[in-house]
Amino acid sequence: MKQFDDIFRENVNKAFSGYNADHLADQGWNSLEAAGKGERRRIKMIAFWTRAAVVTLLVGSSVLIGYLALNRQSSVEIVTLPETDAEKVIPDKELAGIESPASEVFPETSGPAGDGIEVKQKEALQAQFVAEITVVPEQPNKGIILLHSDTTLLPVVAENRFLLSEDSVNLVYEKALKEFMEGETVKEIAAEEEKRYGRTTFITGLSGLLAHVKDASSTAPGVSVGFYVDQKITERISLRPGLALAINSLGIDNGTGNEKLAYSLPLIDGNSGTPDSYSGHLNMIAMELPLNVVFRVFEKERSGVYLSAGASTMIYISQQFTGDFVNEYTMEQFNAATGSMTSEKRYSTVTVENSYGSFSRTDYLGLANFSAGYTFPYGKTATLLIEPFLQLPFSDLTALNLRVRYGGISMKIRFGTDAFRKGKQ
Amino acid sequence: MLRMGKGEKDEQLLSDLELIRRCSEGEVRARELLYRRYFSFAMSVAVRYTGDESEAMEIVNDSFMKVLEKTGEFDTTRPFRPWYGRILVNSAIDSYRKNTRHSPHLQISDIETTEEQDPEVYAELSAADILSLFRQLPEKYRVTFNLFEVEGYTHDEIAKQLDISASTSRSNLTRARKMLRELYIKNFNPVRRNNEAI
Repeated sequence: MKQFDDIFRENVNKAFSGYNADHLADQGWNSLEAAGKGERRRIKMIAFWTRAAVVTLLVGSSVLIGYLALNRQSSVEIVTLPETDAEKVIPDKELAGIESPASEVFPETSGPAGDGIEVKQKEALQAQFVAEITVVPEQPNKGIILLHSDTTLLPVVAENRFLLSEDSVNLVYEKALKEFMEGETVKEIAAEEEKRYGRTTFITGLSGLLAHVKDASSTAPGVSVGFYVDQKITERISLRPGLALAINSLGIDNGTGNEKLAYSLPLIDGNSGTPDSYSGHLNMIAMELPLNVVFRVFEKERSGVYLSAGASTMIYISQQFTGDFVNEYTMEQFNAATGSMTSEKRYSTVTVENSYGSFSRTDYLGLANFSAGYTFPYGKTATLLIEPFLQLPFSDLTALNLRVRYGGISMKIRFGTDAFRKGKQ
Repeated sequence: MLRMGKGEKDEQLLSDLELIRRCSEGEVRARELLYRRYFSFAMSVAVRYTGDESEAMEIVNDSFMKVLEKTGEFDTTRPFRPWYGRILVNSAIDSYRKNTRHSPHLQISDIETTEEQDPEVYAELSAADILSLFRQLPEKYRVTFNLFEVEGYTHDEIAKQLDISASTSRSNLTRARKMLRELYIKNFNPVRRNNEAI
């Protein structure tokens, strides 16, 4: 038994040690290349869908934030003054069509406010406000109607669906309103509002950028889409972290001066190769995590000028390098006839195609950010920011270890109640 | 025979180490050179596990993709062939695991029982002869036989690789040997053939 097993094993080893499948090598290589192309296509598709998902997320977030910011202004309601002890609330539905003497509405009210408040409906169904009338019998001169939104207080006078018809009452109302607006209550509420919303605003933006490596620059302008949060620290200084997706193509040739790119090809016969020239390009998709400090140089209402500085971490989702390297070889030969050495130069071109994996490289705080921005009102609640910027490398960046500088201009939209309140002042 | 240009001759002279370095830098030509240089070797390993050249080629390509992914892990002080061989065997095992659900489950009882005596091997078997025998073995026996007899794995190692117990590995090997003897006698043993003819 053992004899057969041993002999069979030897036969296997012998037979397969000389196994020749070269006739299948072409077929194998072609199928491998096809599979590789499929894999690269798959990676490209993943990168594309990742990019699409991030852009969708950013745009979706921006739309949502914009909608919420705009919606705050219109969703208003009447608030009940907190200091009233006794009050009578007449719901909106009951008021529609009411044409009754003030005594019916305010039967126990005395003084100017109670003398004859007549609530008339003016284009009752046109208004969108959900209103309640609040009356303060003990303090008739503070019998006011207020509209309240999440962000501010709005006195209702002419814009509302209801008008106070009596001039005298209006006079009292205005007086009361003035007193009220100047009072502590408004300040407290405003402080509360600021505490709740005022210090954080949201920004979304689009940037056009160019990359430079020494004398080389982008083969095509890059683009970056980002989402940022502006957190006020003091009246003038705020912290602005964010998340941006940048797509860029960088042309690289001899001028870049990156020695690591020198694709030297030493031959086995001892001839040394030196790079003669090379050219290629690096296509990148990167996530940028900037953290900037913003200093407001000047600000008036929603217009202003600011300076910003900080650093960015770059996470590379995709990096693809393709390039041609021309290398020079020098062969030295001894000429016996003349007794001298002669040299012969030969050139070899190598095409390199390299795809670096997703998230294969992260440059932590690799870029220093500098920018200056100008802001101005955009719509009712938003602010437009125009911001030229410059990014300088702290360290070598990308899989090719390049010292890449970026420059460009950003257009951003800021949403938030900070801008909204300022606009109303 | 094709005449080889000077450049191609130079390429053929490139060492494995140089080719691997270039592969790691993304040079397509270097990848092709390395692939072709080790193609026959890779096929010789893979085909023992599959018994079929087209399936073996898939294993070879999978393993070469792994080589390209892992060039950074390659110990440049050691030769390439054994390292690649291990990757090939692992790829073959991966392929076996994938195919396990679909492989026909041939029992030992399916094979005609013959005499217990050891058959004599009269002549050297060619690769084609051996493959014809391997093709008749159930995949689990073929894989176990190759891992133990050719690659030199222990039963514990095989058990770990195939996610079976060591005793199952021993049992598989015993059955593989027994089946190979029987298949050899059935297919190649001239004495038996002569007797059957009479």
